Amino acid sequence: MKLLTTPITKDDIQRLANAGADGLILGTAFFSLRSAGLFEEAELVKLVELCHKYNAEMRVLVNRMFHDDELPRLKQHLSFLKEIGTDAIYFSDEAVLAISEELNMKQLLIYQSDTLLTNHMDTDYYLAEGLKGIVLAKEITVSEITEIAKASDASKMELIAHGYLAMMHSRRNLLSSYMEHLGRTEKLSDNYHMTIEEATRHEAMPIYEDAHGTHVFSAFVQQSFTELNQFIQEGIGAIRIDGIFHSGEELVQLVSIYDRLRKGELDAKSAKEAFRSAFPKTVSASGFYYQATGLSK
Amino acid sequence: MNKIELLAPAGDLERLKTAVRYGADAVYIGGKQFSLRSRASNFSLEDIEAGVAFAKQYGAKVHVTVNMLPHEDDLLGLIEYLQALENSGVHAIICASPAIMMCAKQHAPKLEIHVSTQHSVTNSAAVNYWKRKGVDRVVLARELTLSQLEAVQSGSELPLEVFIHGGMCISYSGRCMLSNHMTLRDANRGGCAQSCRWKYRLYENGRPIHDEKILFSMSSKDLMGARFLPDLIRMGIASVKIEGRMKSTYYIATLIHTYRMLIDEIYTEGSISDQRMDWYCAQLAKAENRPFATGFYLGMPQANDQLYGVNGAGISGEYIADVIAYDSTHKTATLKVRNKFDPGTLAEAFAPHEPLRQFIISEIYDEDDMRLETANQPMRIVKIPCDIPLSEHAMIRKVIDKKPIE
Repeated sequence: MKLLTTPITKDDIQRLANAGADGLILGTAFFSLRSAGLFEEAELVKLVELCHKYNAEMRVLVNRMFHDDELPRLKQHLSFLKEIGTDAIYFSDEAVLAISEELNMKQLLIYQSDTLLTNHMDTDYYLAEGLKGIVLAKEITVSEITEIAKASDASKMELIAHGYLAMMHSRRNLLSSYMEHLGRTEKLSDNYHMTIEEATRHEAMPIYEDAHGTHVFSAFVQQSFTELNQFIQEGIGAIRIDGIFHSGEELVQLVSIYDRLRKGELDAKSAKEAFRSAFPKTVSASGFYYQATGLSK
Repeated sequence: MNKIELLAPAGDLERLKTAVRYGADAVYIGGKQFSLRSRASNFSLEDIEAGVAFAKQYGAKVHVTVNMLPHEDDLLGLIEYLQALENSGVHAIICASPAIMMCAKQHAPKLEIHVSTQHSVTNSAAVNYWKRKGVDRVVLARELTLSQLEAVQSGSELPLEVFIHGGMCISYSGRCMLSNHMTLRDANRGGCAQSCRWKYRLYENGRPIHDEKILFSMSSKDLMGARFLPDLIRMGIASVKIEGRMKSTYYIATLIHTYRMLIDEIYTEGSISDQRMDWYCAQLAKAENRPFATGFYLGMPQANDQLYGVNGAGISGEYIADVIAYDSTHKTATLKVRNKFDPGTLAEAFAPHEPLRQFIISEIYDEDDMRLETANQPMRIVKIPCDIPLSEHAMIRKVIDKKPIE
C-alpha cells in the first residue's frame, strides 16, 4: 500500500519522503481545490525531479470544475504535466478526462470527486476508462469499503485516511457576503484560521474562502490507525494523509506513524498513542467508518 | 428550432396532473427507489404508470429521477426497476451515477438518460464526454453565468437543461456533506437536512467575529430566472426546469400557469416588453415563500442574494380554495377551502390556459346553504355566488399587496 501526503512547502518534500511517503500530492492556485500546499506551475518542473530523487511520485491536483473559456488553459496544463513526467493527476470534472483522452494521457488520471464514488459499479465505470485509479468517497463505512475492494480492483483504490474532511464546496463567497451584510470591512478571504459552529452545537468546523469559493471541513480529523491493517489485507492501493490545516512538521510526524504502522513496527494501539502524544489537542474520529448515514429523515 | 421545454416538478400524482393541466411540457418525479428528495411523497410504479398515461393525453412527458449515489446495499433491484420504468412509458431518467446510466443503456435502452445536476457539469467538454457515453441530455450546474452558459451551449453536442426557478443548493450539487456530517442524513441519497440554512457562529482563531443578532448562514435566496428566458431561448437551451418536488399543488399551478403564458408570449410575439416581464414576475412571486434572487445568471451572487436572520421558511397565505364545480344557472361556485377567507375578500381565479380573473367573494355558504361568517376549515366544501364562470381545477387566491420580504 502506498502512503501519500500533501507537502505544504518545497522543503517538506525530502522530509516527507524520508519519513515514508511514496507519493506527494501538490496543488496550484488555479487548477486545484483544497490543496494543503500551493506551488507555481513553473516550479513543478523542478519539484518532479526532487520527488523522484527521493523515490516519491509527484501527483498533482487538477480537481476543480472548469468553464469553457478555461479549457484551453486546462489543455495546456495537462500537456505540461504529462511532459514533465508527473506520475498522477487527480480530477473531478469530466472535461479533464475528455482532454486527457485527446492527449493520450488517461493512464495518469485518478478520479477524485470527493463525494460521488460510493459503490463498486461506479468504481468499475471509471477504472474501465483506463484510469490509474480512483479515490473513494469519505462518507462510506469500513464494511462498504471492504465490499467495494472485493468487488472491484482494490489496488487502484485510494482512501483519504487521515486529515480534515472536505464537507462542502460553494462557488459563492459566503464569508465576504456575510461581512458585507453586516456592513463590516474585514477581509476574510484566504484566511485559514476560521471556524464555524452551528448555533446549538459546539463543534468547530474549519471554513475558508478563496478564489474558488467557500469550503467547509469536518470538525474532527479523520484517523485510520485501527483500520490500516485491514485496508492492507484487502489490497487497497493507497491511503492519503491530507495536510490541510497542518504544518509540514506535523505531516512528517503523521507520515512516520502511519509508515511504522504499515511496516508492522507499531501496532494500532501504539500508533494511536503516538498520535495522541504528538497531537494532544486534536479532535480525531473514525468518521463514517462505523457510522452509516441514512437515506431518509 | 424546437420550443424550449417547460419542465415541472411533482411530488405525487395530484401535482403531476396539476403541472400537466397547467401547461408543463414534461414533469420530473421521483420513484420510491434510487431517488433523492425522500421526503417528497414519491411515486409507486403504479402511480408512475398512471402519471405517464395522464401526461400522454396532453402530449407531455415524464422524467424520473434515479439520481441517488448508491452505496453497495442500494444497488439491489436496479435492473428490474429500470426495466419497469421503461415498460411504464417513462421518457427519461435523470442520473448522477454513471453505473446507473450504463445499466439503463444496457437493460432499458428506450429510456433517455439525462445527467443530473449532481454531476455539476459546467463546460462543453464534459457535456461532449457524456455524449460519447450515449447520454441524451445534461442538466447543467447552477453555477453558470449567462455568458458561461452560452459558451457551454455553443460547444455542446447534447441538449441542455437549466434551472430557471426555485430553491438553490448553496454548494455545488452533490458535493455537500454538511447534512451527512451533522445529522447522519445522506444528502446524496435523499436525506438532506438543509444544514446550510441553519445559523452558525463564526470564529477567527477562536475569537468570535459574528454578530449575535444576525448569525452566519449559508442560505441562498430562491432563484427566479424568468427574465432570462428570452436569452435562454435565443441560445437554444432545450429545457428550463423548476425546482420543487416537495412544493404544493398551488405552487406548481401558479408557476406553471405563469411560465407557460410567458414562454408562449415570447414565441408568439418574438420578444417581451419590460412591463410585461414585470407583470409575469409579479405573478410568479404569488407562489413563492422565500425572497428571490437571480442565482449565478448575472454573475457571482452577492450579500443581497443570501438569506440572513431568517430561516427561509413560512408559507404564503394567499391560496384559499380549489374550484370543485360551477353552476352557471345559479351563478354559484363550489369550492374546497385551503386557507381561511372571509366575505368581502378580493379574490383571483386562475385555471389552466386561461387568463387571471378577479372578483369579490361577497358571501359564503355551507353545503346546506347555511350562511357562514368565515371559511376557516381546510378541505371543507363551501359555495359562493360568483358572476364569472369558474373552471373545474381552477384555483383561487387572495389578492394582497405583497411587500418585498427583506
